[in-house]
Amino acid sequence: MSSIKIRTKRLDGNTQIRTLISHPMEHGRNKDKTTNKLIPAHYIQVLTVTHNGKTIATCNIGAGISKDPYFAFLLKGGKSGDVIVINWIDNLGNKDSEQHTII
Amino acid sequence: MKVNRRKFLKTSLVYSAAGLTLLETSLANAEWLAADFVPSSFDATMKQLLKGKPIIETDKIDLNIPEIAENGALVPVTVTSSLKDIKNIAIVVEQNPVPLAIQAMLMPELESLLSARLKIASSSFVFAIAEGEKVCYSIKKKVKVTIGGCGG
Repeated sequence: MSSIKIRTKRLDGNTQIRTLISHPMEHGRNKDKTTNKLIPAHYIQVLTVTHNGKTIATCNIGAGISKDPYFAFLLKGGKSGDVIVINWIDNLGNKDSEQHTII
Repeated sequence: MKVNRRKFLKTSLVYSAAGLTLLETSLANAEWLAADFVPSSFDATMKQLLKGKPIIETDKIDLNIPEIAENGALVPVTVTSSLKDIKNIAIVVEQNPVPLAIQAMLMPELESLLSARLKIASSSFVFAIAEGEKVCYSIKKKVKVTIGGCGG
Protein backbone atom coordinates (compact mmCIF):
# COMPACT_ATOMS: atom_id res chain seq x y z
CA MET A 1 0.00 0.00 0.00
CA SER A 2 1.22 3.41 -0.82
CA SER A 3 2.35 5.63 2.01
CA ILE A 4 0.76 8.70 0.43
CA LYS A 5 -2.85 9.76 0.62
CA ILE A 6 -4.04 12.57 -1.61
CA ARG A 7 -7.33 14.44 -1.39
CA THR A 8 -8.43 17.24 -3.67
CA LYS A 9 -11.32 19.58 -3.28
CA ARG A 10 -12.67 22.41 -5.43
CA LEU A 11 -12.72 25.74 -3.61
CA ASP A 12 -14.07 28.83 -5.46
CA GLY A 13 -12.55 27.83 -8.79
CA ASN A 14 -9.29 26.73 -7.19
CA THR A 15 -8.31 23.23 -6.22
CA GLN A 16 -7.02 22.41 -2.78
CA ILE A 17 -4.51 19.58 -2.74
CA ARG A 18 -3.99 17.92 0.61
CA THR A 19 -1.60 15.10 1.26
CA LEU A 20 -0.84 12.89 4.21
CA ILE A 21 2.26 10.71 4.15
CA SER A 22 3.00 8.02 6.69
CA HIS A 23 6.66 8.37 7.62
CA PRO A 24 8.53 8.27 10.97
CA MET A 25 10.40 11.60 10.38
CA GLU A 26 13.08 10.78 12.97
CA HIS A 27 15.62 13.59 13.39
CA GLY A 28 18.34 11.38 14.91
CA ARG A 29 18.35 12.87 18.40
CA ASN A 30 15.63 10.71 19.98
CA LYS A 31 16.64 7.74 22.11
CA ASP A 32 15.07 4.32 21.96
CA LYS A 33 13.74 3.81 25.46
CA THR A 34 14.39 0.05 25.63
CA THR A 35 17.93 -0.09 24.23
CA ASN A 36 18.98 3.44 25.22
CA LYS A 37 20.53 3.99 21.81
CA LEU A 38 19.92 6.87 19.46
CA ILE A 39 17.34 6.22 16.78
CA PRO A 40 19.02 6.96 13.43
CA ALA A 41 17.73 9.88 11.44
CA HIS A 42 15.08 8.95 8.92
CA TYR A 43 13.14 11.74 7.30
CA ILE A 44 11.78 12.93 3.98
CA GLN A 45 14.07 15.33 2.17
CA VAL A 46 12.33 16.19 -1.07
CA LEU A 47 8.65 16.26 -1.91
CA THR A 48 7.47 17.11 -5.41
CA VAL A 49 3.98 17.76 -6.68
CA THR A 50 3.23 17.52 -10.39
CA HIS A 51 0.09 18.60 -12.20
CA ASN A 52 -0.49 16.91 -15.60
CA GLY A 53 3.22 16.10 -15.78
CA LYS A 54 4.48 19.59 -14.88
CA THR A 55 6.22 20.09 -11.56
CA ILE A 56 4.31 22.72 -9.61
CA ALA A 57 5.98 22.46 -6.22
CA THR A 58 9.32 21.24 -4.95
CA CYS A 59 9.74 21.18 -1.19
CA ASN A 60 13.04 20.72 0.59
CA ILE A 61 12.16 19.30 3.96
CA GLY A 62 14.15 18.93 7.14
CA ALA A 63 13.45 16.86 10.21
CA GLY A 64 11.58 19.80 11.72
CA ILE A 65 8.36 18.52 10.18
CA SER A 66 6.14 16.27 12.29
CA LYS A 67 5.80 12.53 12.08
CA ASP A 68 3.30 11.47 9.40
CA PRO A 69 3.61 14.81 7.62
CA TYR A 70 0.67 16.70 6.20
CA PHE A 71 0.94 19.31 3.47
CA ALA A 72 -1.61 21.41 1.67
CA PHE A 73 -1.31 23.44 -1.50
CA LEU A 74 -3.79 25.49 -3.50
CA LEU A 75 -3.81 25.03 -7.27
CA LYS A 76 -5.09 27.90 -9.41
CA GLY A 77 -7.94 26.54 -11.49
CA GLY A 78 -7.72 22.83 -12.10
CA LYS A 79 -10.51 20.77 -13.62
CA SER A 80 -11.82 17.25 -13.26
CA GLY A 81 -9.62 14.68 -14.91
CA ASP A 82 -6.38 16.51 -14.10
CA VAL A 83 -3.71 14.22 -12.75
CA ILE A 84 -1.80 15.09 -9.59
CA VAL A 85 1.30 13.04 -8.77
CA ILE A 86 3.17 13.35 -5.49
CA ASN A 87 6.66 11.92 -4.95
CA TRP A 88 8.95 11.83 -1.96
CA ILE A 89 12.53 10.75 -1.28
CA ASP A 90 13.97 10.33 2.21
CA ASN A 91 17.53 10.43 3.52
CA LEU A 92 17.90 6.64 3.27
CA GLY A 93 17.05 6.69 -0.43
CA ASN A 94 13.55 5.28 -0.04
CA LYS A 95 10.96 6.81 -2.27
CA ASP A 96 7.29 6.57 -3.02
CA SER A 97 4.86 8.08 -5.45
CA GLU A 98 1.11 8.29 -5.72
CA GLN A 99 -1.21 9.39 -8.49
CA HIS A 100 -4.55 11.06 -8.01
CA THR A 101 -7.16 12.26 -10.46
CA ILE A 102 -9.21 15.33 -9.62
CA ILE A 103 -12.88 14.40 -9.57
CA MET B 1 25.62 20.08 19.70
CA LYS B 2 29.18 19.57 18.61
CA VAL B 3 29.73 18.18 15.15
CA ASN B 4 33.07 16.46 14.93
CA ARG B 5 34.98 15.84 11.74
CA ARG B 6 34.18 12.11 11.53
CA LYS B 7 30.48 12.69 11.91
CA PHE B 8 30.51 15.54 9.43
CA LEU B 9 32.23 13.38 6.82
CA LYS B 10 29.78 10.59 7.42
CA THR B 11 26.71 12.77 7.07
CA SER B 12 28.05 14.53 4.01
CA LEU B 13 28.58 11.10 2.43
CA VAL B 14 24.98 10.17 3.11
CA TYR B 15 23.78 13.45 1.70
CA SER B 16 25.82 13.13 -1.48
CA ALA B 17 24.45 9.62 -1.95
CA ALA B 18 20.96 11.03 -1.62
CA GLY B 19 21.90 13.69 -4.16
CA LEU B 20 22.98 11.02 -6.62
CA THR B 21 19.71 9.12 -6.35
CA LEU B 22 17.97 12.36 -7.01
CA LEU B 23 19.94 12.94 -10.20
CA GLU B 24 19.29 9.42 -11.39
CA THR B 25 15.58 9.70 -11.04
CA SER B 26 15.65 13.27 -12.39
CA LEU B 27 12.73 13.79 -10.10
CA ALA B 28 13.49 17.31 -9.12
CA ASN B 29 15.64 19.99 -10.64
CA ALA B 30 16.38 21.41 -7.21
CA GLU B 31 18.75 19.39 -5.10
CA TRP B 32 18.25 18.98 -1.42
CA LEU B 33 20.87 21.23 0.11
CA ALA B 34 22.48 19.44 3.01
CA ALA B 35 24.02 22.68 4.20
CA ASP B 36 20.58 24.16 4.83
CA PHE B 37 19.49 21.34 7.08
CA VAL B 38 22.48 20.74 9.37
CA PRO B 39 22.18 21.81 13.00
CA SER B 40 23.21 25.44 12.93
CA SER B 41 22.43 28.76 14.48
CA PHE B 42 19.36 30.73 13.52
CA ASP B 43 21.44 33.60 12.11
CA ALA B 44 23.42 31.29 9.83
CA THR B 45 20.23 29.73 8.51
CA MET B 46 18.70 33.10 7.77
CA LYS B 47 21.84 34.20 5.95
CA GLN B 48 21.67 31.14 3.74
CA LEU B 49 17.99 31.62 3.03
CA LEU B 50 18.16 35.30 2.16
CA LYS B 51 21.09 34.96 -0.31
CA GLY B 52 21.98 38.58 0.27
CA LYS B 53 18.52 39.95 -0.45
CA PRO B 54 17.14 42.55 1.94
CA ILE B 55 14.44 41.40 4.31
CA ILE B 56 11.23 43.33 4.90
CA GLU B 57 8.76 42.64 7.66
CA THR B 58 5.29 42.76 6.21
CA ASP B 59 1.71 42.07 7.16
CA LYS B 60 0.87 40.89 3.65
CA ILE B 61 1.93 37.39 4.64
CA ASP B 62 -0.36 35.60 7.02
CA LEU B 63 1.17 33.08 9.37
CA ASN B 64 -1.54 31.05 10.98
CA ILE B 65 -0.19 29.13 13.94
CA PRO B 66 -1.57 28.56 17.45
CA GLU B 67 -0.06 30.85 20.09
CA ILE B 68 0.00 28.03 22.60
CA ALA B 69 0.89 24.57 21.36
CA GLU B 70 -0.09 21.74 23.63
CA ASN B 71 2.09 19.29 21.79
CA GLY B 72 5.35 20.58 20.35
CA ALA B 73 5.66 17.51 18.14
CA LEU B 74 2.64 18.52 16.09
CA VAL B 75 1.93 22.17 15.47
CA PRO B 76 -0.22 22.96 12.43
CA VAL B 77 0.92 25.96 10.44
CA THR B 78 -0.46 27.71 7.37
CA VAL B 79 1.29 30.45 5.44
CA THR B 80 -0.67 32.47 2.93
CA SER B 81 0.34 35.58 1.06
CA SER B 82 -1.36 38.22 -1.02
CA LEU B 83 1.93 39.23 -2.64
CA LYS B 84 2.25 38.50 -6.34
CA ASP B 85 5.86 37.58 -7.02
CA ILE B 86 6.40 34.86 -4.43
CA LYS B 87 8.38 31.90 -5.72
CA ASN B 88 9.62 30.42 -2.51
CA ILE B 89 8.17 30.02 0.99
CA ALA B 90 10.28 28.88 3.93
CA ILE B 91 9.34 28.19 7.53
CA VAL B 92 12.02 28.63 10.19
CA VAL B 93 11.72 27.81 13.89
CA GLU B 94 14.22 29.89 15.85
CA GLN B 95 14.90 27.55 18.77
CA ASN B 96 15.04 24.24 16.92
CA PRO B 97 18.43 22.53 16.57
CA VAL B 98 17.84 22.60 12.81
CA PRO B 99 15.99 25.90 12.39
CA LEU B 100 14.86 25.43 8.79
CA ALA B 101 11.80 23.17 8.69
CA ILE B 102 10.65 23.44 5.10
CA GLN B 103 11.49 25.38 2.00
CA ALA B 104 8.91 25.11 -0.76
CA MET B 105 9.44 26.30 -4.31
CA LEU B 106 6.02 27.13 -5.68
CA MET B 107 5.46 27.53 -9.41
CA PRO B 108 3.05 30.22 -10.69
CA GLU B 109 0.35 27.56 -11.09
CA LEU B 110 -0.03 27.47 -7.32
CA GLU B 111 -1.49 30.12 -5.05
CA SER B 112 0.90 31.34 -2.34
CA LEU B 113 -0.31 28.94 0.28
CA LEU B 114 1.53 26.31 2.25
CA SER B 115 0.25 24.16 5.09
CA ALA B 116 2.32 21.78 7.13
CA ARG B 117 2.77 20.47 10.63
CA LEU B 118 5.89 21.42 12.55
CA LYS B 119 7.93 20.05 15.40
CA ILE B 120 8.85 22.80 17.84
CA ALA B 121 11.40 21.89 20.51
CA SER B 122 10.65 24.70 22.96
CA SER B 123 8.82 28.03 23.06
CA SER B 124 10.15 29.97 20.14
CA PHE B 125 9.54 32.48 17.39
CA VAL B 126 8.37 30.96 14.12
CA PHE B 127 9.28 32.84 10.97
CA ALA B 128 7.68 32.57 7.57
CA ILE B 129 9.94 33.87 4.84
CA ALA B 130 8.66 34.46 1.34
CA GLU B 131 11.21 35.12 -1.34
CA GLY B 132 10.26 37.56 -4.06
CA GLU B 133 12.19 38.80 -7.08
CA LYS B 134 14.41 41.26 -5.28
CA VAL B 135 13.49 41.15 -1.61
CA CYS B 136 12.47 38.66 1.02
CA TYR B 137 9.37 39.22 3.09
CA SER B 138 9.07 37.87 6.60
CA ILE B 139 6.62 37.60 9.42
CA LYS B 140 7.18 36.11 12.85
CA LYS B 141 4.97 34.79 15.59
CA LYS B 142 5.73 33.60 19.09
CA VAL B 143 4.62 30.07 19.89
CA LYS B 144 4.57 28.84 23.44
CA VAL B 145 5.03 25.11 23.86
CA THR B 146 3.55 23.74 27.05
CA ILE B 147 4.12 20.23 28.24
CA GLY B 148 0.91 18.64 29.39
CA GLY B 149 -1.08 21.54 28.02
CA CYS B 150 -1.10 23.66 31.18
CA GLY B 151 0.05 27.19 31.88
CA GLY B 152 3.79 27.71 31.50
